[in-house]
Amino acid sequence: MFPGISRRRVLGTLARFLPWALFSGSAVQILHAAEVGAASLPARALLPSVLRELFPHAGLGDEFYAEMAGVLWQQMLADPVKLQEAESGLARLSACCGSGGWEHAGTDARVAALIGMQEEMFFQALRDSALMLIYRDPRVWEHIGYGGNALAQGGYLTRGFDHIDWLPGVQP
Amino acid sequence: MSPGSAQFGLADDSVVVVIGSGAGGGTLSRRLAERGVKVVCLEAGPRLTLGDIVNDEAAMFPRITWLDERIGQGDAPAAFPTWNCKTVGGTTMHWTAAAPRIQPHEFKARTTYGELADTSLADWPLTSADLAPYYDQAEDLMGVTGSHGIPPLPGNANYKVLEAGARRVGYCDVDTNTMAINPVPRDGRAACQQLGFCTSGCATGAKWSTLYTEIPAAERTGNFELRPQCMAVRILNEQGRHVTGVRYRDASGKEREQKARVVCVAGNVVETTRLLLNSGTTPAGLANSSGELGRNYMRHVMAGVIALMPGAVNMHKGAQVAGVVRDETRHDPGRGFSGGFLMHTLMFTPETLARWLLPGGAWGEPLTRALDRYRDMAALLIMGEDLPRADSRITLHESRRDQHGLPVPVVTYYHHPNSLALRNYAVAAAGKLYRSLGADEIFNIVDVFPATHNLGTARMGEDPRRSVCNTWGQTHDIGNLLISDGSVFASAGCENPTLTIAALALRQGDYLAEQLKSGRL
Repeated sequence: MFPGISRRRVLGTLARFLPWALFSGSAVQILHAAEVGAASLPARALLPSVLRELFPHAGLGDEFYAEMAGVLWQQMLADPVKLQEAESGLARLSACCGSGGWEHAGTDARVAALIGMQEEMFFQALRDSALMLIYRDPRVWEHIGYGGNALAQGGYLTRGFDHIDWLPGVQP
Repeated sequence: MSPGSAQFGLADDSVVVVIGSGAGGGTLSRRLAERGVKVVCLEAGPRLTLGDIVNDEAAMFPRITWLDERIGQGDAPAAFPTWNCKTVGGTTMHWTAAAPRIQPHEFKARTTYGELADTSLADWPLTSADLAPYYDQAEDLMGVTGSHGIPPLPGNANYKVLEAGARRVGYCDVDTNTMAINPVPRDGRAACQQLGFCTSGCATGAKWSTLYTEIPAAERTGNFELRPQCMAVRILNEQGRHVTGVRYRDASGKEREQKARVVCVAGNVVETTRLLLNSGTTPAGLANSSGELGRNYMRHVMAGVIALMPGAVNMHKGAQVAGVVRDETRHDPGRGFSGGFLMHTLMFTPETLARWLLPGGAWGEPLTRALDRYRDMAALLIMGEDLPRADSRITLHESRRDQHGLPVPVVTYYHHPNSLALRNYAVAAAGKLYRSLGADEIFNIVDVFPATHNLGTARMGEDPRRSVCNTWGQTHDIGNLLISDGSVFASAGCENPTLTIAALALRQGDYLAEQLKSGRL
């Protein structure tokens, strides 16, 4: 329940519920299909590891976060305001990591830098759009154990809807 | 348009116009049509078919949800204060199909709970016994498990956890809930396949929705015409004493006026209230001599409780709310609050949990460590009685206008202290239930849910100075204007409201058909 909704009119008023990643499920698929841009801006280069720090799942490889970053970046490229916010936000994030920047910072320093920015609109918008992208991805569902659509298989009626093997007094 | 559907002229002033096609409007339309009354049903949303329903929340949400601007204030979520549908079938597309009756004492909430501060709590003008025959009919119509020889749904693993925990902590009234979902084929509808996407529309039709039950049945009578994508913008009236028709915008955006002998409004509370407020000759709106229109807005007290269990549960598999504990529904002020609450199973998707499992827009390892144990999660929803307040209300925005040029509705809601006390108790009780089975971590989701149950803004009562409608949902001020949705609730009870909305619609339909037949309307 409760998929995120996206409407431009409330932009900036409630980043928690209405992130600036303004797309529906079908748009996500189109974006998935879009070729991941090869922009070489510093901000763009940070994005995969920023996404991993935001939503670190050990079972998801670097290539997954790189792909998500590519999709997000494509969204930003479509909107000069978003792009500018992202570039400046990521640059400030890197600056918060000390002289070596984000690239040379360890996890603790990176997390500390993110915590320092987590009240900012930039951060919340990035988090929310990354969240929608990552947690609607069937590879993430498979990793964490969400089955999704089982209609074609006849539903979960024949796929373990009532299976439980650890409950005291209940036969599996 | 389906075979058998009628077509009525705009100037035909013998028709009853029903606004909305959900649990109230769809059910009422069929009852009237079967009683020989000619009905035009205006529905703001489009008409989908079963084939349009896919098991994909992100795809279905924009397709069926009412996304026109609404502004939340107070304790209501600001940008999305209520969660209803704009589609033929209304919110019966999104509902979870839990169909409990309101308990007898809850119809007498004011008398039972006594004098409480800061609430406009009232008794209903009808009793549980008055509604019982219609509850029975509604249960038959909707195919509610446990009634009319319909077996219970099987429990999924999430239910088994709920049941085992409930029994450990001493609860007794636990089962797979009274559900308007077919465990076996019935009434032309298929049996539940435990898909787990109840709230996105049921792809097999096992869940009762007026889209494929009451609406086609009404069409088969030859007395009913559905007009989808037709947004009512004003109830036409003669100086607020008599209504004469409805102005609406059709699918092309063209304004039309349908004449009517009677108008029944079932737009789900926000739209019903907005339409009445916007149809008067004064800012007070239509049928509002009491000043109560828009006030006493109630939701339910809701909280999600998610537990990390010692082994896999896979809560997403199966009918979402087919599991309930009723022991706490009693009125027992010794717990520190009035009214009661249900605990029923629920599933949450990874996206929802990523958004809300931890408060305050959490991220990072504390969040993903929990999400990585999605398989082990058991979850329930607490649903408690909410007390009405005069200052919890629906109003019109002074200047903002929507795409139809209508004032944007403002939903102002404040928790009553009783609701917060109930919630705190209930969350603790649910945590105890799961801990009794070895849950190692419990998460409570509070204060973020938009209201799916909207009630009370045109409440029924005996005193025209303190209520908008009489016991039939007929407005005190205007005899041929009736309210046919949850707006008429005098109190919320702690039960999912759809069954009661449908039962009231059937009762209203019989009354209205009789009034029309006898020439009193």
